[in-house]
Amino acid sequence: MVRKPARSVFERLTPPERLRVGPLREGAFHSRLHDPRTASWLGLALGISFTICFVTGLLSHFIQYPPQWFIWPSRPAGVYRVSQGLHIATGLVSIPLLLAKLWVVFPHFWTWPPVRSFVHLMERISLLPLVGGSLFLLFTGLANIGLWYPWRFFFPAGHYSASWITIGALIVHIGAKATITRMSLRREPPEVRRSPESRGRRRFLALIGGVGGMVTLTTVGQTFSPLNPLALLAPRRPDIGPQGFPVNKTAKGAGVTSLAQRDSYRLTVEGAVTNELSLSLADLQALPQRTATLPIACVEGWSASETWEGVPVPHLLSMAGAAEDASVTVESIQPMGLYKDSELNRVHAHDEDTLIALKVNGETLHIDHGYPARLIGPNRPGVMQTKWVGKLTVH
Amino acid sequence: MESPINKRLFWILAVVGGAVMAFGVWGLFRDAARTHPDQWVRWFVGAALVHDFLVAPLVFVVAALTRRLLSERSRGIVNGALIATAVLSAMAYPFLRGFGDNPDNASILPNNYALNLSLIVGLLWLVVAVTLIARSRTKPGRDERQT
Repeated sequence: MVRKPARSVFERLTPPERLRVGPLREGAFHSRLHDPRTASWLGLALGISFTICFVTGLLSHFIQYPPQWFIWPSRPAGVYRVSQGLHIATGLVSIPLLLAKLWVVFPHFWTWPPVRSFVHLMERISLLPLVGGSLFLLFTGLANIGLWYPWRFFFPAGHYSASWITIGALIVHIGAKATITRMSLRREPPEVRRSPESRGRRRFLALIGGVGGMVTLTTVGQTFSPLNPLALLAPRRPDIGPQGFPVNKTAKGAGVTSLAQRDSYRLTVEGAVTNELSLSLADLQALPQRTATLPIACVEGWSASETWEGVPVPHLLSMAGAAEDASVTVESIQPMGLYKDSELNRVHAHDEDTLIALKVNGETLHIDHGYPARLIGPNRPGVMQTKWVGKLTVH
Repeated sequence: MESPINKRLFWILAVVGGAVMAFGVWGLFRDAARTHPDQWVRWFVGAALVHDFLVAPLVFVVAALTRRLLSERSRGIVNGALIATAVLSAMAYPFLRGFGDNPDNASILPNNYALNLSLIVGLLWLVVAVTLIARSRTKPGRDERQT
Protein backbone atom coordinates (compact mmCIF):
# COMPACT_ATOMS: atom_id res chain seq x y z
CA MET A 1 0.00 0.00 0.00
CA VAL A 2 1.32 3.39 -0.99
CA ARG A 3 0.74 6.15 1.48
CA LYS A 4 0.28 9.63 0.19
CA PRO A 5 2.91 11.98 1.57
CA ALA A 6 1.47 14.27 4.27
CA ARG A 7 0.46 17.65 2.89
CA SER A 8 2.06 20.63 4.51
CA VAL A 9 0.02 23.42 6.08
CA PHE A 10 0.86 25.62 3.11
CA GLU A 11 -0.26 23.08 0.54
CA ARG A 12 -3.57 22.76 2.33
CA LEU A 13 -3.88 26.57 2.45
CA THR A 14 -3.40 26.94 -1.31
CA PRO A 15 -6.44 28.76 -2.67
CA PRO A 16 -8.65 26.93 -5.19
CA GLU A 17 -7.37 26.95 -8.76
CA ARG A 18 -10.40 28.89 -10.01
CA LEU A 19 -9.03 31.98 -8.23
CA ARG A 20 -5.96 31.85 -10.44
CA VAL A 21 -6.93 34.64 -12.82
CA GLY A 22 -5.32 37.65 -14.49
CA PRO A 23 -1.63 38.02 -13.64
CA LEU A 24 -1.84 34.88 -11.49
CA ARG A 25 -2.35 32.71 -14.59
CA GLU A 26 0.44 30.47 -15.82
CA GLY A 27 2.35 32.31 -18.55
CA ALA A 28 0.73 35.67 -17.85
CA PHE A 29 4.09 37.34 -18.32
CA HIS A 30 5.66 37.00 -21.76
CA SER A 31 9.09 38.59 -21.66
CA ARG A 32 12.10 36.32 -21.42
CA LEU A 33 13.76 39.03 -19.32
CA HIS A 34 11.80 37.93 -16.24
CA ASP A 35 14.56 35.47 -15.44
CA PRO A 36 16.84 34.86 -12.46
CA ARG A 37 20.01 35.89 -14.31
CA THR A 38 18.69 39.35 -15.23
CA ALA A 39 17.33 39.75 -11.70
CA SER A 40 20.67 38.67 -10.24
CA TRP A 41 22.73 41.18 -12.21
CA LEU A 42 20.40 44.01 -11.29
CA GLY A 43 20.24 42.76 -7.71
CA LEU A 44 24.00 42.74 -7.50
CA ALA A 45 24.20 46.31 -8.84
CA LEU A 46 21.53 47.44 -6.37
CA GLY A 47 23.26 45.62 -3.53
CA ILE A 48 26.37 47.66 -4.26
CA SER A 49 24.58 50.99 -4.77
CA PHE A 50 22.42 50.58 -1.66
CA THR A 51 25.46 49.64 0.42
CA ILE A 52 27.28 52.76 -0.76
CA CYS A 53 24.21 54.86 0.01
CA PHE A 54 23.83 53.31 3.44
CA VAL A 55 27.48 53.70 4.44
CA THR A 56 27.80 57.28 3.17
CA GLY A 57 24.45 58.20 4.69
CA LEU A 58 25.40 56.71 8.04
CA LEU A 59 28.71 58.58 7.91
CA SER A 60 26.89 61.85 7.30
CA HIS A 61 24.57 61.03 10.20
CA PHE A 62 27.52 60.33 12.54
CA ILE A 63 29.24 63.56 11.51
CA GLN A 64 26.12 65.55 12.38
CA TYR A 65 25.15 63.56 15.48
CA PRO A 66 28.50 62.16 16.65
CA PRO A 67 28.42 59.28 19.13
CA GLN A 68 30.99 59.40 21.95
CA TRP A 69 33.53 57.24 20.14
CA PHE A 70 33.33 59.09 16.83
CA ILE A 71 35.80 61.90 16.10
CA TRP A 72 35.41 63.06 12.49
CA PRO A 73 38.80 64.25 11.17
CA SER A 74 39.23 67.59 9.44
CA ARG A 75 41.59 66.14 6.83
CA PRO A 76 41.58 65.44 3.94
CA ALA A 77 39.38 68.49 3.44
CA GLY A 78 37.23 66.99 0.69
CA VAL A 79 36.23 63.61 2.13
CA TYR A 80 32.73 64.74 3.08
CA ARG A 81 32.24 66.36 -0.29
CA VAL A 82 33.10 63.11 -2.09
CA SER A 83 31.19 60.89 0.31
CA GLN A 84 28.00 62.96 0.18
CA GLY A 85 28.30 63.53 -3.57
CA LEU A 86 28.54 59.75 -3.88
CA HIS A 87 25.48 59.30 -1.63
CA ILE A 88 23.31 61.40 -3.93
CA ALA A 89 24.82 60.11 -7.19
CA THR A 90 24.38 56.45 -6.22
CA GLY A 91 20.88 57.19 -4.93
CA LEU A 92 19.94 58.73 -8.27
CA VAL A 93 21.48 55.94 -10.32
CA SER A 94 19.55 53.45 -8.16
CA ILE A 95 16.27 54.82 -9.57
CA PRO A 96 16.56 53.05 -12.95
CA LEU A 97 18.22 50.03 -11.32
CA LEU A 98 15.42 49.59 -8.81
CA LEU A 99 12.61 50.12 -11.30
CA ALA A 100 14.21 47.63 -13.71
CA LYS A 101 14.72 45.10 -10.92
CA LEU A 102 11.12 45.40 -9.75
CA TRP A 103 9.90 44.95 -13.32
CA VAL A 104 12.06 41.85 -13.84
CA VAL A 105 10.82 40.13 -10.67
CA PHE A 106 7.24 41.39 -10.91
CA PRO A 107 5.86 37.96 -11.96
CA HIS A 108 6.98 36.62 -8.55
CA PHE A 109 4.56 39.03 -6.96
CA TRP A 110 1.79 36.98 -8.64
CA THR A 111 3.40 33.60 -8.02
CA TRP A 112 1.14 30.56 -7.55
CA PRO A 113 0.57 29.19 -5.01
CA PRO A 114 1.01 32.47 -3.11
CA VAL A 115 2.86 30.80 -0.25
CA ARG A 116 4.73 27.53 -0.62
CA SER A 117 6.53 27.11 2.67
CA PHE A 118 7.40 28.87 5.88
CA VAL A 119 10.70 30.11 4.41
CA HIS A 120 8.82 31.36 1.34
CA LEU A 121 6.33 33.15 3.59
CA MET A 122 9.14 34.81 5.57
CA GLU A 123 10.90 35.83 2.38
CA ARG A 124 7.72 37.33 0.94
CA ILE A 125 6.97 39.23 4.15
CA SER A 126 10.48 40.72 4.09
CA LEU A 127 9.75 42.11 0.62
CA LEU A 128 7.35 44.75 1.96
CA PRO A 129 10.05 46.54 3.97
CA LEU A 130 12.53 45.96 1.15
CA VAL A 131 10.37 47.30 -1.70
CA GLY A 132 8.50 49.90 0.36
CA GLY A 133 11.74 51.02 1.98
CA SER A 134 13.72 51.22 -1.26
CA LEU A 135 11.02 53.25 -3.00
CA PHE A 136 10.56 55.41 0.10
CA LEU A 137 14.29 56.16 0.32
CA LEU A 138 14.68 56.99 -3.36
CA PHE A 139 11.52 59.08 -3.53
CA THR A 140 12.10 61.06 -0.33
CA GLY A 141 15.77 61.51 -1.24
CA LEU A 142 14.88 62.81 -4.69
CA ALA A 143 12.29 65.20 -3.28
CA ASN A 144 14.77 66.39 -0.66
CA ILE A 145 17.47 67.35 -3.15
CA GLY A 146 14.77 69.42 -4.86
CA LEU A 147 13.84 70.88 -1.44
CA TRP A 148 10.30 69.51 -1.78
CA TYR A 149 8.65 68.23 1.41
CA PRO A 150 5.13 66.94 0.72
CA TRP A 151 4.99 65.16 4.12
CA ARG A 152 4.91 66.12 7.79
CA PHE A 153 7.85 64.09 9.08
CA PHE A 154 11.31 65.64 9.35
CA PHE A 155 13.14 64.37 6.27
CA PRO A 156 16.50 63.33 7.82
CA ALA A 157 14.78 61.46 10.67
CA GLY A 158 12.31 59.67 8.40
CA HIS A 159 14.97 58.83 5.81
CA TYR A 160 17.30 57.58 8.54
CA SER A 161 14.76 55.18 10.09
CA ALA A 162 13.79 53.91 6.64
CA SER A 163 17.43 53.26 5.77
CA TRP A 164 17.93 50.87 8.73
CA ILE A 165 14.70 49.05 7.93
CA THR A 166 15.57 48.76 4.24
CA ILE A 167 19.12 47.56 4.87
CA GLY A 168 17.79 45.01 7.38
CA ALA A 169 15.29 43.77 4.78
CA LEU A 170 18.10 43.67 2.20
CA ILE A 171 20.14 41.43 4.51
CA VAL A 172 17.17 39.06 4.83
CA HIS A 173 16.72 39.16 1.06
CA ILE A 174 20.39 38.34 0.46
CA GLY A 175 19.97 35.31 2.73
CA ALA A 176 16.99 34.18 0.68
CA LYS A 177 18.57 34.81 -2.72
CA ALA A 178 22.29 34.13 -2.26
CA THR A 179 22.11 30.59 -3.67
CA ILE A 180 19.99 31.35 -6.72
CA THR A 181 22.07 34.46 -7.43
CA ARG A 182 25.31 32.51 -7.32
CA MET A 183 23.84 29.83 -9.57
CA SER A 184 22.37 32.30 -12.06
CA LEU A 185 25.53 34.34 -12.37
CA ARG A 186 27.64 31.37 -13.45
CA ARG A 187 29.50 32.01 -16.67
CA GLU A 188 27.40 31.06 -19.67
CA PRO A 189 28.79 28.45 -22.09
CA PRO A 190 29.52 30.01 -25.54
CA GLU A 191 26.49 28.43 -27.22
CA VAL A 192 24.21 29.89 -24.51
CA ARG A 193 25.86 33.27 -24.86
CA ARG A 194 24.92 33.31 -28.55
CA SER A 195 21.28 32.50 -27.82
CA PRO A 196 18.62 35.19 -28.34
CA GLU A 197 17.78 35.02 -24.60
CA SER A 198 21.31 35.84 -23.60
CA ARG A 199 21.67 38.60 -26.20
CA GLY A 200 18.34 40.11 -25.20
CA ARG A 201 19.39 40.09 -21.57
CA ARG A 202 22.69 41.80 -22.32
CA ARG A 203 20.89 44.43 -24.40
CA PHE A 204 18.41 45.07 -21.58
CA LEU A 205 21.14 45.34 -18.94
CA ALA A 206 23.15 47.65 -21.22
CA LEU A 207 20.04 49.77 -21.68
CA ILE A 208 19.49 50.10 -17.93
CA GLY A 209 23.18 50.87 -17.48
CA GLY A 210 22.87 53.49 -20.21
CA VAL A 211 19.86 55.09 -18.53
CA GLY A 212 21.82 55.10 -15.26
CA GLY A 213 24.66 56.79 -17.13
CA MET A 214 22.29 59.45 -18.47
CA VAL A 215 20.94 60.07 -14.97
CA THR A 216 24.48 60.51 -13.68
CA LEU A 217 25.75 62.64 -16.56
CA THR A 218 22.84 65.08 -16.29
CA THR A 219 23.14 65.53 -12.52
CA VAL A 220 26.60 64.79 -11.16
CA GLY A 221 27.94 68.17 -12.34
CA GLN A 222 26.27 69.66 -9.25
CA THR A 223 29.21 68.37 -7.24
CA PHE A 224 31.79 67.33 -9.87
CA SER A 225 32.42 70.67 -11.55
CA PRO A 226 34.10 69.41 -14.77
CA LEU A 227 30.68 67.97 -15.68
CA ASN A 228 28.79 71.10 -14.65
CA PRO A 229 27.97 72.03 -18.28
CA LEU A 230 26.07 68.74 -18.61
CA ALA A 231 24.15 69.11 -15.33
CA LEU A 232 20.94 69.94 -17.19
CA LEU A 233 18.70 68.12 -14.73
CA ALA A 234 20.64 68.80 -11.52
CA PRO A 235 18.70 70.59 -8.77
CA ARG A 236 21.72 72.83 -8.11
CA ARG A 237 24.59 74.26 -10.12
CA PRO A 238 27.87 74.84 -8.30
CA ASP A 239 28.32 78.19 -10.10
CA ILE A 240 24.83 79.64 -9.58
CA GLY A 241 24.01 81.74 -6.53
CA PRO A 242 25.17 84.94 -4.88
CA GLN A 243 28.91 85.40 -5.49
CA GLY A 244 28.82 82.40 -7.82
CA PHE A 245 27.83 79.49 -5.60
CA PRO A 246 24.58 78.16 -4.13
CA VAL A 247 22.81 79.01 -0.89
CA ASN A 248 20.52 76.77 1.12
CA LYS A 249 19.14 79.17 3.72
CA THR A 250 18.88 82.82 2.78
CA ALA A 251 19.24 85.66 5.30
CA LYS A 252 15.57 86.43 4.82
CA GLY A 253 14.62 82.80 5.38
CA ALA A 254 16.65 82.73 8.60
CA GLY A 255 15.23 86.10 9.70
CA VAL A 256 18.64 87.73 10.17
CA THR A 257 18.64 90.40 7.46
CA SER A 258 18.54 93.36 9.84
CA LEU A 259 20.31 91.67 12.77
CA ALA A 260 23.32 90.85 10.61
CA GLN A 261 23.71 94.43 9.41
CA ARG A 262 23.62 96.19 12.77
CA ASP A 263 26.70 98.11 13.95
CA SER A 264 26.20 96.50 17.34
CA TYR A 265 27.22 93.12 15.84
CA ARG A 266 29.74 91.32 18.07
CA LEU A 267 31.38 87.93 17.94
CA THR A 268 31.83 86.68 21.49
CA VAL A 269 34.08 83.86 22.66
CA GLU A 270 33.00 82.49 26.04
CA GLY A 271 32.66 79.34 28.11
CA ALA A 272 35.80 77.51 29.29
CA VAL A 273 38.17 80.43 28.59
CA THR A 274 40.45 82.59 30.73
CA ASN A 275 39.76 85.71 28.70
CA GLU A 276 36.28 86.28 27.24
CA LEU A 277 36.28 88.08 23.91
CA SER A 278 33.76 90.42 22.33
CA LEU A 279 34.84 91.47 18.86
CA SER A 280 33.23 93.88 16.43
CA LEU A 281 33.51 93.37 12.69
CA ALA A 282 36.34 95.95 12.64
CA ASP A 283 38.14 94.03 15.43
CA LEU A 284 37.85 90.83 13.41
CA GLN A 285 39.15 92.56 10.29
CA ALA A 286 42.13 93.86 12.27
CA LEU A 287 43.20 90.36 13.34
CA PRO A 288 45.63 88.31 11.21
CA GLN A 289 43.71 86.84 8.28
CA ARG A 290 44.18 83.48 6.65
CA THR A 291 43.13 82.33 3.20
CA ALA A 292 41.98 78.78 2.50
CA THR A 293 40.38 77.13 -0.52
CA LEU A 294 37.72 74.84 0.87
CA PRO A 295 34.61 73.15 -0.49
CA ILE A 296 31.19 73.99 0.77
CA ALA A 297 29.47 70.61 0.52
CA CYS A 298 25.78 70.32 1.15
CA VAL A 299 24.05 67.21 2.47
CA GLU A 300 21.79 67.55 -0.57
CA GLY A 301 24.74 66.58 -2.73
CA TRP A 302 25.95 69.78 -4.37
CA SER A 303 29.35 71.20 -3.60
CA ALA A 304 31.54 74.08 -4.71
CA SER A 305 35.11 74.98 -3.95
CA GLU A 306 35.70 78.61 -2.95
CA THR A 307 38.54 80.69 -1.56
CA TRP A 308 37.70 81.96 1.89
CA GLU A 309 39.46 84.57 4.01
CA GLY A 310 39.06 85.18 7.70
CA VAL A 311 40.32 84.63 11.21
CA PRO A 312 41.40 81.07 12.09
CA VAL A 313 39.32 79.67 14.95
CA PRO A 314 42.50 78.33 16.70
CA HIS A 315 43.78 81.92 16.81
CA LEU A 316 40.59 83.11 18.54
CA LEU A 317 40.82 80.16 20.94
CA SER A 318 44.40 80.98 21.94
CA MET A 319 43.49 84.69 22.34
CA ALA A 320 40.73 83.62 24.71
CA GLY A 321 43.01 81.21 26.54
CA ALA A 322 41.06 78.03 25.72
CA ALA A 323 42.53 74.60 26.44
CA GLU A 324 44.51 72.73 23.77
CA ASP A 325 41.83 70.07 23.45
CA ALA A 326 38.84 72.39 23.64
CA SER A 327 35.78 71.77 21.49
CA VAL A 328 33.49 74.62 20.48
CA THR A 329 29.82 75.31 19.87
CA VAL A 330 29.40 77.84 17.07
CA GLU A 331 26.16 79.75 17.29
CA SER A 332 24.44 81.95 14.76
CA ILE A 333 22.68 85.21 15.56
CA GLN A 334 19.68 83.88 13.64
CA PRO A 335 16.67 83.87 15.98
CA MET A 336 15.68 80.26 15.29
CA GLY A 337 16.18 77.36 12.97
CA LEU A 338 17.29 73.77 13.25
CA TYR A 339 20.79 74.53 12.06
CA LYS A 340 21.48 77.71 14.02
CA ASP A 341 24.46 76.15 15.75
CA SER A 342 27.08 73.51 15.09
CA GLU A 343 29.83 71.71 16.95
CA LEU A 344 33.55 71.93 16.24
CA ASN A 345 35.12 68.82 17.72
CA ARG A 346 38.64 69.21 19.10
CA VAL A 347 40.21 68.31 15.74
CA HIS A 348 38.13 70.78 13.72
CA ALA A 349 38.46 73.52 16.37
CA HIS A 350 42.26 73.39 16.10
CA ASP A 351 42.62 73.08 12.34
CA GLU A 352 44.31 76.26 11.03
CA ASP A 353 41.91 76.31 8.06
CA THR A 354 38.80 76.37 10.26
CA LEU A 355 37.95 80.01 9.76
CA ILE A 356 35.55 82.64 10.89
CA ALA A 357 35.39 83.84 7.31
CA LEU A 358 34.73 87.48 6.43
CA LYS A 359 35.39 87.26 2.71
CA VAL A 360 34.94 84.83 -0.13
CA ASN A 361 36.83 85.00 -3.44
CA GLY A 362 38.18 88.41 -2.42
CA GLU A 363 34.76 89.97 -1.73
CA THR A 364 32.97 90.72 1.51
CA LEU A 365 30.55 87.85 2.21
CA HIS A 366 27.10 88.25 0.69
CA ILE A 367 24.48 88.35 3.42
CA ASP A 368 23.04 85.04 2.15
CA HIS A 369 26.48 83.50 2.59
CA GLY A 370 26.63 84.65 6.22
CA TYR A 371 27.74 88.31 6.38
CA PRO A 372 29.32 89.59 8.57
CA ALA A 373 31.06 86.35 9.56
CA ARG A 374 30.55 82.67 8.92
CA LEU A 375 32.19 79.45 9.91
CA ILE A 376 33.96 77.55 7.16
CA GLY A 377 36.11 74.55 7.90
CA PRO A 378 37.62 71.62 6.05
CA ASN A 379 35.69 68.37 5.67
CA ARG A 380 32.35 69.49 7.11
CA PRO A 381 28.74 69.22 5.88
CA GLY A 382 27.28 72.53 4.72
CA VAL A 383 24.69 72.56 7.51
CA MET A 384 27.58 72.63 9.98
CA GLN A 385 29.22 75.65 8.32
CA THR A 386 27.21 78.02 10.51
CA LYS A 387 26.42 81.42 8.99
CA TRP A 388 25.98 84.82 10.71
CA VAL A 389 28.18 83.62 13.59
CA GLY A 390 27.68 85.53 16.86
CA LYS A 391 29.04 83.27 19.59
CA LEU A 392 31.71 80.64 20.15
CA THR A 393 31.17 78.67 23.33
CA VAL A 394 34.28 76.77 24.41
CA HIS A 395 33.98 73.41 26.20
CA MET B 1 9.33 25.70 -9.03
CA GLU B 2 10.91 26.05 -5.62
CA SER B 3 14.04 28.18 -5.96
CA PRO B 4 17.10 26.70 -4.30
CA ILE B 5 17.80 28.15 -0.90
CA ASN B 6 20.49 27.60 1.67
CA LYS B 7 18.27 27.33 4.75
CA ARG B 8 21.11 27.81 7.23
CA LEU B 9 22.31 31.01 5.55
CA PHE B 10 18.70 32.16 5.21
CA TRP B 11 17.99 31.85 8.92
CA ILE B 12 21.28 33.44 9.99
CA LEU B 13 20.71 36.46 7.76
CA ALA B 14 17.00 36.54 8.66
CA VAL B 15 17.96 36.96 12.31
CA VAL B 16 20.66 39.57 11.55
CA GLY B 17 18.45 41.47 9.09
CA GLY B 18 15.48 41.19 11.44
CA ALA B 19 17.54 42.74 14.23
CA VAL B 20 18.64 45.59 11.96
CA MET B 21 15.02 46.19 10.93
CA ALA B 22 13.94 46.11 14.58
CA PHE B 23 16.56 48.75 15.33
CA GLY B 24 15.10 50.91 12.54
CA VAL B 25 11.55 50.49 13.86
CA TRP B 26 12.71 51.25 17.40
CA GLY B 27 14.39 54.45 16.15
CA LEU B 28 11.28 55.39 14.24
CA PHE B 29 9.14 55.30 17.39
CA ARG B 30 11.79 56.68 19.75
CA ASP B 31 12.06 59.72 17.48
CA ALA B 32 8.28 59.89 16.92
CA ALA B 33 8.12 63.66 17.41
CA ARG B 34 10.18 64.09 14.26
CA THR B 35 9.33 60.95 12.27
CA HIS B 36 5.51 61.10 12.69
CA PRO B 37 5.25 57.28 12.44
CA ASP B 38 1.60 57.26 11.38
CA GLN B 39 2.30 59.40 8.34
CA TRP B 40 5.69 57.82 7.74
CA VAL B 41 4.05 54.37 7.50
CA ARG B 42 1.56 55.69 4.98
CA TRP B 43 4.40 56.87 2.72
CA PHE B 44 6.39 53.67 3.27
CA VAL B 45 3.55 51.25 2.51
CA GLY B 46 2.00 53.65 0.01
CA ALA B 47 5.20 53.67 -2.05
CA ALA B 48 5.03 49.88 -2.46
CA LEU B 49 1.31 49.90 -3.22
CA VAL B 50 1.58 52.69 -5.77
CA HIS B 51 4.39 50.83 -7.49
CA ASP B 52 2.81 47.38 -7.45
CA PHE B 53 -0.74 48.32 -8.36
CA LEU B 54 -0.29 51.46 -10.43
CA VAL B 55 3.18 52.01 -11.88
CA ALA B 56 4.02 48.39 -12.70
CA PRO B 57 0.64 47.57 -14.32
CA LEU B 58 0.95 50.75 -16.37
CA VAL B 59 4.35 49.60 -17.63
CA PHE B 60 2.84 46.25 -18.64
CA VAL B 61 -0.01 48.01 -20.43
CA VAL B 62 2.49 50.14 -22.40
CA ALA B 63 4.57 47.04 -23.13
CA ALA B 64 1.45 45.25 -24.40
CA LEU B 65 0.71 48.22 -26.64
CA THR B 66 4.19 48.29 -28.18
CA ARG B 67 3.97 44.52 -28.61
CA ARG B 68 0.74 44.94 -30.55
CA LEU B 69 1.63 48.06 -32.53
CA LEU B 70 5.30 47.66 -33.39
CA SER B 71 7.25 45.14 -35.36
CA GLU B 72 9.70 42.85 -33.60
CA ARG B 73 12.52 44.83 -35.20
CA SER B 74 11.60 48.27 -33.92
CA ARG B 75 10.11 47.28 -30.59
CA GLY B 76 13.36 46.90 -28.68
CA ILE B 77 14.72 50.34 -29.44
CA VAL B 78 11.34 52.03 -28.90
CA ASN B 79 10.86 50.26 -25.57
CA GLY B 80 14.38 51.31 -24.60
CA ALA B 81 13.71 54.93 -25.44
CA LEU B 82 10.41 54.76 -23.53
CA ILE B 83 12.25 53.46 -20.46
CA ALA B 84 14.88 56.20 -20.67
CA THR B 85 12.21 58.85 -21.18
CA ALA B 86 10.16 57.58 -18.23
CA VAL B 87 13.10 57.41 -15.84
CA LEU B 88 14.53 60.83 -16.75
CA SER B 89 11.07 62.41 -16.59
CA ALA B 90 10.33 60.84 -13.21
CA MET B 91 13.65 62.08 -11.86
CA ALA B 92 13.21 65.59 -13.24
CA TYR B 93 9.51 65.86 -12.36
CA PRO B 94 9.86 67.43 -8.89
CA PHE B 95 12.41 69.90 -10.27
CA LEU B 96 10.35 70.63 -13.37
CA ARG B 97 7.29 71.40 -11.30
CA GLY B 98 9.41 73.65 -9.07
CA PHE B 99 7.90 72.28 -5.85
CA GLY B 100 10.94 73.39 -3.86
CA ASP B 101 11.28 76.83 -5.47
CA ASN B 102 11.88 79.75 -3.18
CA PRO B 103 11.47 83.28 -4.57
CA ASP B 104 14.25 84.54 -2.24
CA ASN B 105 16.75 81.97 -3.42
CA ALA B 106 17.60 81.84 -7.10
CA SER B 107 20.21 79.12 -6.53
CA ILE B 108 17.46 76.56 -5.85
CA LEU B 109 16.38 74.73 -9.03
CA PRO B 110 18.21 77.17 -11.31
CA ASN B 111 17.76 75.26 -14.57
CA ASN B 112 14.93 75.41 -17.07
CA TYR B 113 14.03 71.79 -16.43
CA ALA B 114 11.14 71.58 -18.90
CA LEU B 115 13.38 72.82 -21.70
CA ASN B 116 16.36 70.69 -20.71
CA LEU B 117 14.30 67.54 -20.33
CA SER B 118 12.67 68.17 -23.71
CA LEU B 119 16.10 68.66 -25.28
CA ILE B 120 17.51 65.43 -23.88
CA VAL B 121 14.41 63.38 -24.60
CA GLY B 122 14.03 65.00 -28.03
CA LEU B 123 17.61 64.12 -28.92
CA LEU B 124 17.02 60.57 -27.73
CA TRP B 125 13.94 60.13 -29.94
CA LEU B 126 15.76 61.71 -32.85
CA VAL B 127 18.40 59.01 -32.52
CA VAL B 128 15.62 56.39 -32.35
CA ALA B 129 13.96 57.79 -35.48
CA VAL B 130 17.22 57.90 -37.43
CA THR B 131 18.08 54.36 -36.35
CA LEU B 132 14.65 53.04 -37.34
CA ILE B 133 14.82 54.73 -40.75
CA ALA B 134 18.33 53.45 -41.35
CA ARG B 135 17.25 49.95 -40.36
CA SER B 136 14.20 50.01 -42.59
CA ARG B 137 16.52 50.55 -45.57
CA THR B 138 18.62 47.49 -44.80
CA LYS B 139 17.57 43.87 -44.92
CA PRO B 140 16.80 42.13 -41.63
CA GLY B 141 19.95 40.73 -40.04
CA ARG B 142 20.37 37.07 -39.32
CA ASP B 143 19.76 37.17 -35.61
CA GLU B 144 16.76 39.43 -36.01
CA ARG B 145 15.08 36.89 -38.28
CA GLN B 146 15.63 34.26 -35.64
CA THR B 147 13.86 36.13 -32.84
